[in-house]
Amino acid sequence: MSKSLSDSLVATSVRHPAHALSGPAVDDVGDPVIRARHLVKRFGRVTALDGLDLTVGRGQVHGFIGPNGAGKSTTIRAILGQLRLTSGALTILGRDPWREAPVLHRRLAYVPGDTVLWPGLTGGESLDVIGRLQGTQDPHRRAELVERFELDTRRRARTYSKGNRQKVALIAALSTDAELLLLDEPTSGLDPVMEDRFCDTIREVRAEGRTVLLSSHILSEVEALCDRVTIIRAGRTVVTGSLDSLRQEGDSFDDVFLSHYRNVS
Amino acid sequence: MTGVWRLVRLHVRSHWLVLVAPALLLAGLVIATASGVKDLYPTAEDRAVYAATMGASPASWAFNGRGIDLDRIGGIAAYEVGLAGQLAIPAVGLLLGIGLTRRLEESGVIELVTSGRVARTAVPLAALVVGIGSWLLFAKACEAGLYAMGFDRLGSQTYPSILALYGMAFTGIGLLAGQLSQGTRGAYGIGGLLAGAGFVTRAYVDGRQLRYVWASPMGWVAEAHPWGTWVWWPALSFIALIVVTSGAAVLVASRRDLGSGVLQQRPGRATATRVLSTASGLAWRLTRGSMIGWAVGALTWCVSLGAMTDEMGRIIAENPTLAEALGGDPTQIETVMSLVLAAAMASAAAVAGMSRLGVEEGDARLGLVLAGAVSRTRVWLAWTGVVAAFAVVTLMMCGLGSGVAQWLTGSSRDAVTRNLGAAIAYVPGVLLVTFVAALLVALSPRLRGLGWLPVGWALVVGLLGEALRLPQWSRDLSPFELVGRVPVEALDRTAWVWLAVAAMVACAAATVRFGSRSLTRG
Repeated sequence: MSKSLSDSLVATSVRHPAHALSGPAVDDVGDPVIRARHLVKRFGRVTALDGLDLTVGRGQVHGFIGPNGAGKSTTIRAILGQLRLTSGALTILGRDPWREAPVLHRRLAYVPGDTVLWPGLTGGESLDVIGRLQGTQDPHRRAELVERFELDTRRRARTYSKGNRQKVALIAALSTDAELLLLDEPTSGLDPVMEDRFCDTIREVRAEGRTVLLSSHILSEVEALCDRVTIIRAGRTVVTGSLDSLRQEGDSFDDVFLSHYRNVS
Repeated sequence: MTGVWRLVRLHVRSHWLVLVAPALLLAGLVIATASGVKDLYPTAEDRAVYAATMGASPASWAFNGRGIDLDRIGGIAAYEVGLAGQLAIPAVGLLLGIGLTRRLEESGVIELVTSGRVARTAVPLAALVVGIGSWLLFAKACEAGLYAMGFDRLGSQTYPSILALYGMAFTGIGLLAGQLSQGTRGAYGIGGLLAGAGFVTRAYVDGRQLRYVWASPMGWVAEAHPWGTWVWWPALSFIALIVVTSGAAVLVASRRDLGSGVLQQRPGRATATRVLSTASGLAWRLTRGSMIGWAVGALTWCVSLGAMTDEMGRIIAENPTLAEALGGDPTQIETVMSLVLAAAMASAAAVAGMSRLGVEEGDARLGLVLAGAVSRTRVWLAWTGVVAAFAVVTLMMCGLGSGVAQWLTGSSRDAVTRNLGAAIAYVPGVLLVTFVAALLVALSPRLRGLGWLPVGWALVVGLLGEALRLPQWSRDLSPFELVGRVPVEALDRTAWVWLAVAAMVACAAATVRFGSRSLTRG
């Protein structure tokens, strides 16, 4: 009794601001690739997700932004079926990610924010292990991306810098045929030249009609690439909508973003 | 050499546990063993009987080293410290030598430190200084314990001293290995290989009672006669070894680039093989390094002991007192000695393999793999399957190796089947230890270290059970004791079946648990 009451309180308090700010935008997505409703995840006494909503439509590049600890990575791990949610409804490509993880994973590819590789394997071996376990690696695309990102594939991963490790995860994910790309702060450690090539690649991916969830706190990158944006804070969705509709709220996207952290304590 | 003292202070502050705990544990091992034998052989006659039986057995010589000054209680204590001490002391020596140099370099600490007022050469020198400090602590703790128990004053000083010099020599070897290899694991590999080669050489020389006692540093400890008339050459040889190895380490350190080694790594493959990119292939690639090390150790042990059986049999036959004390057929006793240790080492390989899965999860690489189109259960079954199969194959190879070696050196052909049969007796025990380690990883990757407890206990019981006079109930906590000392004793079939059932239950529970929890890091 008291549980359902508190759940509904959480639900209204989360839903309300999201709807108020984004208006009808949240529903104009037919056939969503990611559909998350009131996600709650508690680790012991810590609440990581506190009623998070997220809808990503097919073919979108969707920016997922928020400060450190807001719950971005937790959400992505739930999408990957690596976390059991405390409550809430989550469907990815129409399926339950916890129960059907391996089936779903053939259709999505993931880039972690801080990629840790096997120190004894070469970069090339790591690429193939990740890509082939995903199941849809395209060797031609792999070769092309290795060249584009200038990766020395014969070096052991223990000798790689952070940027090089990040390149391995990026190439592995981008050389698959996945319909959905989950990118968790993918450009951390990349130099400006490589970041530029990353942006070009994401535009190609969008042109192919694939869907991207881009978690980031680099606002310029989000502004350059994304169609729609969801801003979260403390495990809840603060606002979601198209970039254009959000820009109308303030002078620049940065102002809009920061305003959501100034007003609420 | 600038900055040696600054670095020494830093090591003492940040690594005091590594400097203190292993030293005191080793001292505890020596003191406990000495206290175990102290009251057992009070009179000269008791000690004479011991010298003529246990102290004359070539199998024990191969195992423990030469029995010297066995007419004194200190000599008996040193003999009983034997194998455990010979292997544990180099392990700690390498830990100090490599852990404070190459490991810190690989983790980036040395880069930070040498960007300050610390010279390149100060790194191995500071490790040497704190290493010496740690071994002094060991020697002083041993001395205090032995003297307090009433061992004679001089021996209580000289015996710990020669042990500490032996340990320090391996710290020196560790320092050099840490400079030569580019990686921490490679450095431990070099050090472990040298320790293993030294041990096998000594076991061969002592087991066949040859004269070349100087051939391996492992034999030098006994040759110093710490409980009788002190002989100087072993101590001086150890000191020379320490000076040469640490000097070479400093020389290499002064000439090489940070992060490099003398043994350069060649560039590897640009693409993965088909096998590597499967769940079992990846599991094998990631676990084989540590597992093969244990397997090679176990197999070397069994084959060399098996090859000496005939020689030992002859020596025992010439000594009726000894034959009576051993109370059995020497080939059968050899089988037990070989395979109990082989089972413990095969289990150690399995625990190392299973804890690597915990490391994978903690480092978020398991999450990366599971983001692919493989189910958790498949990754789990592939991993436990590879590890368990490797452990069982290792054990069976050891049985075969021991049997064939006995057969080729003069035993009848039955030796092969008898040794294989004995190996089968220990299979459920090995599987139980494996799946308990698996269950711990399935519960939480942070618990993985606990998997070493049963292995450690099996080793303590197998190597020191007699010396420490452990009560029977505590020996039965080792799964290899439960089935009986096959083939000297008959196989306890009930215990065998129960162990197998327990192993399967642990395996099933682990599989269910691993499939149904959140990953700790993704």
